Formats: sequence, C-alpha cells, structure tokens
Amino acid sequence: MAYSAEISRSNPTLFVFVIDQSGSMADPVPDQPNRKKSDAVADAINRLLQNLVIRCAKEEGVRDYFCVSVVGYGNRVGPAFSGPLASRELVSISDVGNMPARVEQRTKKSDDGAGGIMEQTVKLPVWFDPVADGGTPMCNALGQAAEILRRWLAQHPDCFPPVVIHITDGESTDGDPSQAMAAITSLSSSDGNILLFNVHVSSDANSTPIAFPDGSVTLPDQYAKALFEGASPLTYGMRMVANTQHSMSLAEGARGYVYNGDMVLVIQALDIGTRPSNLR
Amino acid sequence: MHVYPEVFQVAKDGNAQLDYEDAWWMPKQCHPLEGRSFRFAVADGATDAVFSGLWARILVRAFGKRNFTTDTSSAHIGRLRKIWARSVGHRPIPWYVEEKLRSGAFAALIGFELVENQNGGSGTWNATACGDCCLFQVRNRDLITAFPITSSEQFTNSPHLLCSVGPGTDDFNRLSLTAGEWIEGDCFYLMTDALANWFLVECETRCVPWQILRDITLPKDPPFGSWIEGLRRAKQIRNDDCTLLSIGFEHF
Repeated sequence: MAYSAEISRSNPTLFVFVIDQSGSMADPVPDQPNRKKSDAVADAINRLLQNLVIRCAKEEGVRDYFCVSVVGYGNRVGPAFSGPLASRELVSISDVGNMPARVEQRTKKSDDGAGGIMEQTVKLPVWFDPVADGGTPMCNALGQAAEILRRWLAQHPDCFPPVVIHITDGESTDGDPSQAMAAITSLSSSDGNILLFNVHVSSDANSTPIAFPDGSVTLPDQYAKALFEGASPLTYGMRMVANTQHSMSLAEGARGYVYNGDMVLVIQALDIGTRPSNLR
Repeated sequence: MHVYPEVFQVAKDGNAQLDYEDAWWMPKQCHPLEGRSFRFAVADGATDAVFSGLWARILVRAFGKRNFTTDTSSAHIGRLRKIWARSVGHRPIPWYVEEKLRSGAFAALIGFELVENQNGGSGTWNATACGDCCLFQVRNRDLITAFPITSSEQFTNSPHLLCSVGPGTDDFNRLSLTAGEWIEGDCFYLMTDALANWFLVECETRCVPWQILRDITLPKDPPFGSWIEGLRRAKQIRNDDCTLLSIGFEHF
C-alpha cells in the first residue's frame, strides 16, 4: 500500500518548502492591514520548523526523521534559510534544531490550573526571514526543487514520499508552471509519488477561500486551475489529519490546494502536509 | 503459591537498546516466586514525548511497590509527577527539549495483581489499565480474558495515556479496572501494544498465539528478539518496542 513507509532515522523523509518572495508579498494580509504577507508566511514557516524539531526531539537530542529544504524565489532563486544554515539546500532536522539564525523570547499567558493566569517566557527560534522583492520566477524555483528531490530519491529510494509545500500569492512570471509541477509529482519512491501542495495566499479580503477542493470546484482563472491541477490528491492519512484535527470533512479526491487562503488556512495546510502518522 | 514469571523485551528495529522506552516490574525474589500475593506491571512510554521511558519506569515501580493506587486524588498523582520532575532535573537543556518538557511524558500502563486463596491452588486477580498495554489470561486452550482491549480493531494511534505533568488529572480518571479468578495451570501475559495487537490478530484468525509464546521460552527455540525480528520482516507486527511478561504456575 502506498504512503505507508515507516519514517525512521534509518529511513527519513524530506519536506521541501518553495516560498514566493516576490515584491507583491509586501502587500498586507487581508484582515491585518499592518502585516505584510511575507511576514505572515515567514512566521508560519518558522513555527512549522519549530514544531517539526519539537516533534523529533528526545531527551538526548533531535532524531533525524526528516530533512528540510527551503527554496525562495523572487529577485533570486535558491536556498532561503537565514543565519548559519544560509545557502544550504538540504538540512537535517537536528541541524535545523541546533542552528537557528536567532532565538527570540516572547511572553505567553496560560492557565495556572488554579483558576488564574500565569506568564511564561517561551523561546521562538527563527530560521527564515521575510523577503519581498522582484518578480515571480515560479518555474525556475519548482525546477530547483525537482533537482533537490531527484538527488534525495536516488539516496532514499524507499522513503515515505517527500512532501513539497509551495506558497505563492501570484502568477508566474517565467512561464506556465504546469510542466514544472508535473515534473515534481511524477517523481516517486517505492512508497508512492511525491506530494505537492499549492497554497495561494490571499490579497483580497472580499473573495471566498477554497480549501482542499476536489474536481467539482469552479476556479476563477487559468492560474488557479493550473495550481489546482498540479497539486496532489491528499493521502488517506492527510485527510484524517484534516478531518480530525482541523474539523474539515474531506473525501477521497480532495487535493492539496488552497485558493485565496487566509493565514489560518495556510497554517492548517502546513500542518496537514507535514504530519504523517507513521513516525517511528 | 509458586509463580514463574519471565520477561522478554526488544527495542524497535533501528533503535539502540538505550532507546527502549517500555518498562516492566516483577518482584525481585528467587525463581520461582513463593508467597500469597504478587504484583506485576508493564508500561509503554510514548515515542513522541521526552523522558517517557523514565515515566514508564516510575509508573511500573509505583504499581509494584503499592505506591500506585486507584485513588485519583491530585495529591497521589502529584507525588508520582514530582518524582518524574525531580529526576528530569534542572540541568541546562536545549530549547526544543525545554519546550517539550512543558507537555510532559506519556505512558500506557497495565498493572496486575495475583492473590492466592486460603486453601491454595486458586485465587483471584485484579488489573488496572490505561491505554493499550494488555493483559491476557489463557486456560487450557482458551483465551478467557483480554483486558482492556478485546479486539485488534480497538488499537489506535491515540490511546489514552498517563501524563507526567499537571494540573489536570483526567488521564488518571480514565483508569480501567477489572478482576477475575485463577486456577493452577492458567497463564497470564502482560504485553505492550505492538505485541498485543499481533496476539489478538492471531486469536481472530483462529490461531493459538499462546502456544508460540510458550515455545519461545524454551531454550531450543530462537530467542525473543530473533522471533520478533522475523515477525517484523513478515510485516506481521508493527516496528515498536516489544515487551512480554509471562506469568505461569509451572516451569515451562
């Protein structure tokens, strides 16, 4: 059965994040006029990386169940980590945990168990800084991601299929990305094809978001259709995460595609895409 | 009564024995055990938490030493949690362990007590469980007790587990209790979830897994670790830490 390979230190898997860093990402998030989309996406990616590290953490250190790659595209295309991991295209999750660019501290309020509120200082590591500059060379970025995936699969032929999460707010400026997406989803390990999520970040407060649609949905334009058709059908495990953890009701055929998503939907998509249940 | 307990354990494939996060308890006496009542326990620390193996060891020891009762008062639970917190200590730890410590450790537990009647040769037993560690009682050629899980379909990825941090005590309120009777010749098996799941699947396909378990205690048969490795290769058992505590009234 596909998508059932065990994820272990001897058989890790890969998450690739392809992030739009074009100039339009400086536009505000629809419901937060003082917050740029690039800032909101960077926060979401940093919290996701933090959660992935914590998920793999044991008392003796971080177990390397995953590797992570972050490809940014805008004025330039390439690895997008900040700090000591800058320019590295493939990073083990233990290196992610041990080498953040910086660790910020915030105060968090929580229930003290006796009817009161207590304040705790929590550490928030940062690996990825917001950038919003230049055009939208989506095909080039997806091509680089495909190269990273090919090299990974040559070394890990039996891994749980890598997951690619592509976050964008706009239209490709270097051609139709359909072929580049197909090149990614045609790659496979012995456990199944690579899974591609396309997450469209909204700039329009008045439009209705579409989350994980099946083939029956009507999409507004050719770009949305291309991103929908390029996205992979969600696996059974991912639909279970969506339905049980995020109160969705996704059936077979739902695709890893979000149109005009707010940040809640972006964060949900990141969670659904990176929570395989067969971690050992 | 004379009781012959045996423990078998193996870490999940790909892990070192140091990474083993199950725990077990049986009285430290000569073999066989001689007395009128004994306690045994098996626990399974959750992989996705930190210091879960430690929490599992604290729980089985508390049950075995009769410091674990079904009293779910916060004071009683607090004592067990304090032992865990003290053992984890205050040494410098990286941010990711610090973050995870706040959520605490989690473990499943099955605790089991045998008590002999005044006349000997038979008696009662009682068991306490949380999560998917299981107890099976076999008499002659029949499985007569499966507790707390009775069919392989009931195993899930999110069993109820006991947590090492408060303030809530809901997890301890979910303890399941049961009791029964035994006669000489009965066999009891305490197991962590992967092995228990295999055991129930075998039962559901009209096999007699207890015969296999009896056989692996014999010197001529392959050791427990090799046998589990074979089941893993054949994909008949999930790759997980496996622990079996068998309790009989005769030497196999």
